[in-house]
Amino acid sequence: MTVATTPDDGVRMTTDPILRMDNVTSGYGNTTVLHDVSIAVEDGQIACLIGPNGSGKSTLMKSIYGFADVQSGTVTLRGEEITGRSPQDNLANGMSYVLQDASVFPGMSVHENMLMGGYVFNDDDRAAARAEELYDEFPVLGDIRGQKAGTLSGGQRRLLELARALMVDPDVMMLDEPSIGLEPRFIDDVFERIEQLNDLGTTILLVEQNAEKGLSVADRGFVLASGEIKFTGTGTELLNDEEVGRLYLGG
Amino acid sequence: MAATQFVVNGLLVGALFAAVAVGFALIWGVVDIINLAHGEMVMLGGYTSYWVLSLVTGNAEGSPVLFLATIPVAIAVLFVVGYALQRTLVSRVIGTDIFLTLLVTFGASIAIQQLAIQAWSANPRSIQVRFADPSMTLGGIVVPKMKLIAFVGAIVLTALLYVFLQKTRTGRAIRAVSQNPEAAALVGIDVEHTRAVTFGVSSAIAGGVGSFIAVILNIQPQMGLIYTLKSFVIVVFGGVGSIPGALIGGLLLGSIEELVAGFISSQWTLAVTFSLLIVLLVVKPKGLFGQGVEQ
Repeated sequence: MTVATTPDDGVRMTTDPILRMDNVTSGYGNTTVLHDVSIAVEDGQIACLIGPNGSGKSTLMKSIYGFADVQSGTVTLRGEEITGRSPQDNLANGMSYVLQDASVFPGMSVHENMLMGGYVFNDDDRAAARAEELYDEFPVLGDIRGQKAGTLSGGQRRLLELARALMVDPDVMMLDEPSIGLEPRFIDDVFERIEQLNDLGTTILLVEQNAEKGLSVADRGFVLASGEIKFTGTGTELLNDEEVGRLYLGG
Repeated sequence: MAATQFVVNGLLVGALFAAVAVGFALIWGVVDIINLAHGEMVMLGGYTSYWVLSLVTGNAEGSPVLFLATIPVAIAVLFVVGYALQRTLVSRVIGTDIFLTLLVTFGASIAIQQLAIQAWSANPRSIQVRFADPSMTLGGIVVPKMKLIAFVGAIVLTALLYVFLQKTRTGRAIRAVSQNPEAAALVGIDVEHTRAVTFGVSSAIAGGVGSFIAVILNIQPQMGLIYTLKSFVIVVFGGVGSIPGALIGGLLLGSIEELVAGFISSQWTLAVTFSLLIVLLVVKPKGLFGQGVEQ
């Protein structure tokens, strides 16, 4: 047990990190993108990763989820090593991931996309029942369940991606740039959802281009540049840090 | 009347072309490979039925029911062949240069042909199915019973594939990989296995069609190329990735070929077909019905 103090919500009891990377060097094939990266995300937190384009933010997420090659170091979930595990295993372990790029199946209906989110159940009835639960939480999606995902607006598509990642009822959710390409009113909507999910106990690791927005909801922030972690602190600390502000927040 | 007869003949054979092309289109859409060895699956299916029937009856002759019973064997054998082809060979070149993928599948096609010649000689063979009365007349149109059975068989195979893709969990996984491979991996689909199953299923259908071809035409080791070419034409007619499009494309191709053969000469069929293909590519490059990967 550690006790973390955050300026905004006082003393907060936290457990050991649910998700951590220790000294991870990773990339794709012979190319190395991340160098000796260590981060720890504690249970129930929102952690936000910021940094300039090309700094390796998406690669960090992919290294956790087995989509990038981890050359050295370890990734652990609830103390168990998961380095290089397949997405199937990660989903079964209660960790889901929303990609930055449109990751819906455009030729399938909203409902079929939701069912695909429960593919690992190997049980269509269970997937359908879980989808119904999520339609209660996301009535917009329930209303358009028959519509082809390829015809959705950007905001609807992002909601579908979020809801689909919730099909497995994850303890940990990784979100890569949830606000990218969205109109401002949808951005607030998506962040509201993220905070709601977190209130319900889901640990969230977020990559966000909109650094101020991301850090403002985050319990913990990490600044990544050139494949290395340059700063770590609470969201508020990083927002108020002069150097972080000057280098990465554009002010 | 002659024209109607030609069109009926064309539709009967066209359904077989269509069923082969549907598998070719499926591999193209899901695995993103133009499988130049697809026609060899038709050939191997034909030989499978031929040898199974020979084993059972002592010669390649039998009743319609006995012949039909060999088709599930051909389908099963060709599923395994297709699955193995993807897993051992094609998976190594997926995502690389298109020339490499064409070369690998072309090499596989030549290798299979040559092995077939060594094993079974280059002589054409055919299965004799005994009917008391081999053809019937419907409204003045002559319909050979075996061709009608083959037509129905091909339509059933195509329809089964459609239902499989739409209604089963594996079918949904195949469509998911076709539409977005990265997202498919994200939701926990084993993409490599799914691609191999796609190869297996497509080859199985081609194999089933091969069984029918062994009865209504004949089989020989180098017959595959023409089916690969026809599949290519049909898929371009129908649009890559559309099963109904491939089905209609196949029926259309069969009809056009029979009309050309009937009114001009059978030597002109390929020339006319490929000229039409070129015109279509210029006028409607996405095919008559194509709109990207739906099924």
